[in-house]
Amino acid sequence: MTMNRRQFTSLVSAAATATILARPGLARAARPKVVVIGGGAGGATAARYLAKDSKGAIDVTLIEASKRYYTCFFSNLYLGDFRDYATIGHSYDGLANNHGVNVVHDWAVGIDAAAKSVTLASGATIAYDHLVLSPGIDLKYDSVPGYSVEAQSKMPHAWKSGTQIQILKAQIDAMRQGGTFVMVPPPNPFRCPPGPYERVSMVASVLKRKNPTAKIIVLDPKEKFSKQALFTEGWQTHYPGMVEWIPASISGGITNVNAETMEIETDIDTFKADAACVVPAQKAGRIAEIAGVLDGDWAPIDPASMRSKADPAITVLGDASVASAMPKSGFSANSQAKVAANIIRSELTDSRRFEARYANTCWSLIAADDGVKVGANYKAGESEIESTESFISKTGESPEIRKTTYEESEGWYAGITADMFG
Amino acid sequence: MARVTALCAFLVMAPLAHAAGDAEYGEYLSSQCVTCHQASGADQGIPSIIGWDAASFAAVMHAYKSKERVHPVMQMIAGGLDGEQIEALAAFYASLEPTNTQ
Repeated sequence: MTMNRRQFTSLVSAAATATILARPGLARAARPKVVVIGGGAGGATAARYLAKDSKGAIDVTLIEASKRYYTCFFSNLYLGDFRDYATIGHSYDGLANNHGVNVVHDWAVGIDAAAKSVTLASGATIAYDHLVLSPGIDLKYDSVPGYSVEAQSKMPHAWKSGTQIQILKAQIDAMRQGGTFVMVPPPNPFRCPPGPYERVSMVASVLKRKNPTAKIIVLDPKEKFSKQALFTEGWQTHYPGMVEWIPASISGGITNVNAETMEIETDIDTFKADAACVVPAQKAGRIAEIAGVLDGDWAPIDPASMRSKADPAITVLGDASVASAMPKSGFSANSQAKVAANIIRSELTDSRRFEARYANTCWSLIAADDGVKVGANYKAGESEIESTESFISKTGESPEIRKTTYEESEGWYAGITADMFG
Repeated sequence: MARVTALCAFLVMAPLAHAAGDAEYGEYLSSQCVTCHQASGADQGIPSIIGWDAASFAAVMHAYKSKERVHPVMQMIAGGLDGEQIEALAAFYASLEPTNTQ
């Protein structure tokens, strides 16, 4: 419809009036904007605390492709038949409905740091005043000769959330009697240092019940591992003769894995696996590389704030960051997120800023009611995060202590998932 | 500075020794507690500390700090908190109601 000049003029002045009357709306639209990429232990916690503690003064967007988050932590307990899979899944409804977080189920594929905007796979763009990256890890598949993304359905890594852990569980459960499970842990640094050994323990627990003559071979690129004395004692106590741990100095390292034949070759021997878990070396989730915050595989951060050293408008949390003394764990990411949220909020809304205090505890289940833990407090040192005090379970502890330790971990799981998603 | 403030608070407020806790600071500090001591007050595997009166809270934390009360993790955590921080946490936790009972 074409309009005459008089109609056009009255339309323009009506629009101008509407704009003036809408000025309060303009003020509301000027809330500072934080975009969080990654809805795991770091990102979900950061989004929740920014939205909750600012009481809506900060506009928070969370970009997470998964519609339901299955925690990697406690996925080993599902593997060991201690948990149903559904109980490690969590909804983003709480963040969206209780805290007003704009939860966007999409992939971030581009970051324009100069323009401060994120581009999504769908093509939409989102502007930010501050960006929080908590993308977890990506796998360096070819760090294990012969391994690839194509191989992962035959030899799962199950080191990222998704169907992998269910595939691995089905393969363990289907092993022939007297068969061999081969575990290939990753080299340092990697997500969840005790994780591969808790996985061995949980597989052993299943095999002890269903396949007691089966064997477990661990071909480790490392010479030592987290809570080694505790796991070694536990395997001897609960699964005598079942688990053989072979470090690289003895095996010579892995020379090839073949997912079709299920053969894993080392310098000393070729192992034919009936089921295998191969966890390759790791790096920061790809979006961190796209954002330009990496130095090599990981993102350096300011220890007092988790601020990227490469870009003051970007915070990096969790596994993707160089957190020095803090291990790459869900507990660490959640701890770092709360320090970062306090600081980001203080910069955007003049709220109180408090000093960084970090903590981590890793619980591992060795067998039913036999849990161990390792943990520490941390502070921001001059140049990196440093441990202040630490604790670790002791070998020879009573069954009562180990049972209590396991029960604590169940309480913690309820607590941290409420803290992330509630 | 914190020590001077704490001393002044003690001298001025001795009869109400725990009234001086900075609950807003305590709320920030409590973010380190909440994954184990659940905000809902649920006590699976780990006791609830929601709604404890401030004097009891502070006394227990000081007992862990002096190692009089035995628990390796709590001794470590209390050891990393100074008196002002314990008062802040005590003030914050005393102000809370459990949100569900399990």
